[in-house]
Amino acid sequence: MELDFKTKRDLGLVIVKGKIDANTALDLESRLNSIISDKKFKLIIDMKDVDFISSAGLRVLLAGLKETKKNDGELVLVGLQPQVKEVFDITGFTSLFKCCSNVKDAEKMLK
Amino acid sequence: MEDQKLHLEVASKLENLPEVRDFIADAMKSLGFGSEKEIFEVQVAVDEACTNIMKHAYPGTAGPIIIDCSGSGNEFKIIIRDKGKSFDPKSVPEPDTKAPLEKRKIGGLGIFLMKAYIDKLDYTFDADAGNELTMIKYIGK
Repeated sequence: MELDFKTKRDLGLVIVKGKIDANTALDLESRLNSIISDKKFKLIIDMKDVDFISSAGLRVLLAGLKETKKNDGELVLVGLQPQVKEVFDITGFTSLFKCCSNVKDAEKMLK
Repeated sequence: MEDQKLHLEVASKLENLPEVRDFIADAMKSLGFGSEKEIFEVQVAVDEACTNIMKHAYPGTAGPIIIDCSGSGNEFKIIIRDKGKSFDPKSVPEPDTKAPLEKRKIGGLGIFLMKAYIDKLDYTFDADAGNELTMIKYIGK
């Protein structure tokens, strides 16, 4: 899994590529924690190049969503691939997260 | 005849999860089983089962996980064995997947995904043989 992070004004953009399993989710978790502790509460996670996610990844995303919401922020997911989307659908995560197909739309949602 | 690798033994370390997922994909393909979607679903289920073993079965050590695959008709069977602590995934209560965010608990989703993507799940524990989890996926249903 690869991780990249960019900021744009008060927005944080996390770009994730590859597979989020119980091992790589630890890296994503520590990155999200450090971004949130820097008081960035409006986050976009670009997942268009994520082709695998297990429950460990879901847990990290859910914890991130709860933390941003607690601080009047939001966490928007971008570009879920069909099989990843299916994992979100069957676990009920689709109704918890705001999702869109590209980063521009996500930025609009967070304005 | 295509070279079939249907047996894998790995140490129970989280960094071995990619090897487990690749093994599942290769085994299904060599048996002529499964669309990309079905392969993904079995990979998720086996990844979750092995993650549980890696996290809970061998505290403080990395014992072996042994995986055997076989195919018959439209049935793809995976048997996962370990000699760690006993753990029946069927005993874990289901998460409430309809709960709103504030009531949504973090956890319990691994077993839920395993059950969602696998058609038959069977677990046995024997003091000598250890844990044995059998998963069956009906292909092309």
